[in-house]
Amino acid sequence: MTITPESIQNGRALVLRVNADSLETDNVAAFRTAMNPLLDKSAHFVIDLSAVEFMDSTGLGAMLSCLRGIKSKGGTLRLCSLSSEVKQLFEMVMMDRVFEIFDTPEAALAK
Amino acid sequence: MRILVADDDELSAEILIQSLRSMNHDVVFASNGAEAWDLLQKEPFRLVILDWMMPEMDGMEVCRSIRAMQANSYTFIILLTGRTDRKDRLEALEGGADDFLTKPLDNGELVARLNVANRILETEEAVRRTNRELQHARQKEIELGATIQKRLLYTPPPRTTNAIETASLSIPSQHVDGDFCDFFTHGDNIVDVFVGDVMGKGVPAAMVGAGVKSGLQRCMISLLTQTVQAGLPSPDCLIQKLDELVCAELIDLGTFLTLCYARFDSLTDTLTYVNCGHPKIILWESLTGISRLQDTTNVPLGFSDSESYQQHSVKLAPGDLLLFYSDGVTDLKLPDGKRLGMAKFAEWVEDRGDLPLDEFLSEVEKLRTDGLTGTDTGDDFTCVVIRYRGTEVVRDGVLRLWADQGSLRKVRNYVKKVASDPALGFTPEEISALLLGVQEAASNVVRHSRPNHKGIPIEVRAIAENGWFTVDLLYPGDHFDPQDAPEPVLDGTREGGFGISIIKKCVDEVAYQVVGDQNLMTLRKRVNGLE
Repeated sequence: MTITPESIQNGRALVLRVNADSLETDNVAAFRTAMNPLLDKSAHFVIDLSAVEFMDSTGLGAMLSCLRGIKSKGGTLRLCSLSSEVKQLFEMVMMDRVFEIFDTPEAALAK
Repeated sequence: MRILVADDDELSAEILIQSLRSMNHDVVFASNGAEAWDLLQKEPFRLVILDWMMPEMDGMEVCRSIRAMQANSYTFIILLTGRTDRKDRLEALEGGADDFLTKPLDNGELVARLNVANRILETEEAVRRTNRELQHARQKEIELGATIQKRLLYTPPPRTTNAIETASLSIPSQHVDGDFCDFFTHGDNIVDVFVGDVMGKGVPAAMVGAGVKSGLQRCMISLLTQTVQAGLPSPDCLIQKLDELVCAELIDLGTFLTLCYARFDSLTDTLTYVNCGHPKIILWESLTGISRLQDTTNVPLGFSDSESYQQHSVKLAPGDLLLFYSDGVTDLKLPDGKRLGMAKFAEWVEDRGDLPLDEFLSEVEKLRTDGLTGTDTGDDFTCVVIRYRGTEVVRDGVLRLWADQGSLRKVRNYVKKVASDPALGFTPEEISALLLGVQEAASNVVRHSRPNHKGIPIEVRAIAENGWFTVDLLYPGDHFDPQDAPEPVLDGTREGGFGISIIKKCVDEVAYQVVGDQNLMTLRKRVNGLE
């Protein structure tokens, strides 16, 4: 599991692209390990989930953990490019109300 | 030659030094025993001539000190003395002197004594050189043996094949021994693993091991070509053939070997083995978490020339762990001083059978380190550990697998394949919800049914019938009814606790029951289509 940090755009937020087709029980530890060092690089983040075709509640828990960590430091986290499967999960547990979700990285950065 | 002369009598010393120099010797002078000893500690002299009677340290004291010193070369010691008493001279020889020169000095005697000294020193040097060469040769032999061991004897099976996953550990006791292992793969579903241990150590044991290994390969080839119609030769036939080939020679050589030959067949989920006096295979059952020792079948090869080899068969389930090991493992000493033994080792395995193989072997290595005391380097130590995974293909509508890290995807793929049948009429959203429900249920099983375990055997059955799409998960471990799970907190303040509510939202019915010793979780979704 790797996470590619794109350059900070508009001087506002660091876009992180998750390079895995799933975020689930089996790889959530790897996700946290890859994510941790990146959380010091900026205050504002956009996580690009375009590659992630499948997410389970453990993956969702990891996203919530990121959100809480970033918010506690006064930062923001936005998500973009969710597959329909992942969007379905967020809606099912009403996490679409907890996260700011955008269709594209550009849309997430524009606001 | 460089010679140290120690004498407090300057006149007699001068005469001696002159004589030695006239014979082209390089002479260093000390005017008493203590000074001579100082010089000797700084620089080794091959020849030392000491006056017996000297102040500070007399000749005998210096002599004893030289002999007490650890040196790389021999020092020839001549004592200068006026004494001719037999008792004195015996005492001097006892104290380490090699020869005597009587005062007053006679030049002819000096030359003769120096010749003797030279001859002895040359012989001594030749012996030392030969010893060094021998030692070098022995080291070379050990290195060669270690190479034989590594390249020829120790061929652990591949880390993964279709049926099994393996890892192994081999620590030879004296750089080289007769432990060996190898494998044969037969198509996609059968793999043979064998391990052996030749009595004794060193290059001879390694050579016998290499011979037996290649013998086994020859037997396999010969039986395969002889019995093309009959198919793969069974382990008992193979070992019988090997016995015919090597037994007489082993008896001639006065050696024997223990051998365990095991075949994993993932089509029939069977282990078939012949165990000739090797430590018993430990089988850790994934379903029960219990270790069982598998009986040996025969005496070691080389014991008897009329042995009839037997094979035993055991049913395997995905996740079962099998251990092949040398007596170096069971001979380990426990903290209480007792030998580990097979039964205790099997018990030790029970608590660790679920671990990923590399972690398991690290624990075995730790067990070994803890069991060694002081300078003890232990016996040959070989351990091959095998996780039986089975084919992981669906048979009779059931997928049986060892669910550990990375396995949940296999469950999803299976359910997806069954649910994607167009006749069922599921929409892509319905299928992805179903998969999410199955994932949550399976991941719940993996994480909670055996707390702190790193894997669990699961049987998954997905079927569409009577208007329902049903997914059954059958697994051992703690009982847990999803109906009892608390409602999740949905405001983003909690990272977990969604699983069960997700399952309930993804499917139409969730049921749980205890079946025999196992748990059965059933997810059901109404079928829209015609089936």
